[in-house]
Amino acid sequence: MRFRIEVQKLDTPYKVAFNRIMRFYGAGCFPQDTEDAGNLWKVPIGVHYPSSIVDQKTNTERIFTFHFNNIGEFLLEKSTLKVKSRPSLKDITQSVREKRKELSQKVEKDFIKIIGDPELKVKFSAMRFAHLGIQPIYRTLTRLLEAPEKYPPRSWVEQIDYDDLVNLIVDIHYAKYENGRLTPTNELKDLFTKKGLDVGSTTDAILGLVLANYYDYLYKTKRIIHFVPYVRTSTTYYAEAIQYGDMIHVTENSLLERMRKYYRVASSPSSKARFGYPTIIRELLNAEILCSKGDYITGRDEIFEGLVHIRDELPMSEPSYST
Amino acid sequence: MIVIPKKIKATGHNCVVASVAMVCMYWRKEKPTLSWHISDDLDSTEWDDFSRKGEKFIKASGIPTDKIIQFLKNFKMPLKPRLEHLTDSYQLTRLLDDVIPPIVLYNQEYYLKGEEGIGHAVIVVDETAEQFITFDSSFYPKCVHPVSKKEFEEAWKMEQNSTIIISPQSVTFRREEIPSITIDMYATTGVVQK
Repeated sequence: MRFRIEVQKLDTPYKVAFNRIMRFYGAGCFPQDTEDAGNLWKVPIGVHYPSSIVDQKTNTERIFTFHFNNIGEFLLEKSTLKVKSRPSLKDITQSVREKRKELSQKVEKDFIKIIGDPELKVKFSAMRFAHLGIQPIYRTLTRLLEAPEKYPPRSWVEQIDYDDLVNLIVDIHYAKYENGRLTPTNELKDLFTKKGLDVGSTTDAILGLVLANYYDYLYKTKRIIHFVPYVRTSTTYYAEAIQYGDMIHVTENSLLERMRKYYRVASSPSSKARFGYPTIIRELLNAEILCSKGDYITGRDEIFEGLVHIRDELPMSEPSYST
Repeated sequence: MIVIPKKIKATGHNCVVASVAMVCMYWRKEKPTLSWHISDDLDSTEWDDFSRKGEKFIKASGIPTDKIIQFLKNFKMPLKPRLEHLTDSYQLTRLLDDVIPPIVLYNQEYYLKGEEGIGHAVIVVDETAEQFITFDSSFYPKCVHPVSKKEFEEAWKMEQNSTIIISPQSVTFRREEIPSITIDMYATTGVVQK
């Protein structure tokens, strides 16, 4: 059997680029406006990237499409319209991931700033695993909030190699060195009074401020990774809720899966991570960063409201086939 | 109307793979005498495996059509897939007349909301004077979905009238390439189009 069909001749740079995009990358990509580059046509590539969010309580799925420009480019010879260079499929995939990562880092950064606000009264002390990494800060704060004779001498701070961490309290002006000892500043004393002379809640407030200001330093420079699972799990929840535009309800297991997908970590968790995960969730609930509603995990109003403005900045739209 | 024998649900980038799988199933039922290496029972695990393996080719940028060709080859399908950019919707009519269900990529967000969005793959199964009848995996389980021809043509044009044609290997096409600018126009204006 033989048919005759009429097809468009690929005789413009845009058409050539479109055809190659479909063949090499897929329908998610598109050519942007063609640019004149001497003997070549330059065709930048954009991508539409779909992302689905499900509220498990109402079983409602909403599909969103992210739009990213300039994830790669074609160079076509003007005389022949042959492709001179193009990114590989791997390069394109990597560029999309990088763009997604930029967005998740933005959400993460804003999330940490918000939970670090002392007004939010997040109970950082409930996140016990995180204490392993920042124990020097915790111990120093406890001593600063007790009797003056317990104020740590500078030599103690330096001797035990705590100074990098302890100096973070100095940097945010809640402690200072005076006469060879580390002493609380008026800001710390005021905060302590405001917190009803409660060591625990004052320490929580300072830990929040340290985290809000120095999370990247602690994680990337000092390699203190103990806060990471807490931050990643809760950032994933709030990032999806922001995208959805409402506080979604998710199960514990589904949040773990979503976190692994969001941060692109191994799809099958190690047994150690799997057993530790329920504890992380429980402590995030105790810290009042996440909330529990029946069988589902949901968010906290104040945190969600502080982050939801990001939704307007997301380069996304919602296709009509979203249910 | 071309009857697609099985419905597959798909959203996001999965629509191309779902449409390809449904068209392969159509040919499996329609042409049972071809040299098939896959069960004629569309509910069998072989077909589940087929769809699952197809999904593995989906990347963040969609599924490259070159990969679809490779994928069907791996499954030794007696079918030939091709990506074409048709000149107009009359070419779809020609394919329907010969009971070949074309998979078209059109800009569904533009069709529905007038906003540029992601290309969406559907199978065209019939037409009326005013409408094309599509088989759309995103509307599962009610996959039969009519679209207005005029608006569809605009939204399809945004995707360069991209069409994936899957047909038995015995079917051959005489492709007539139509240039976007005629020689007369080029001689008069000397325009080199971007």
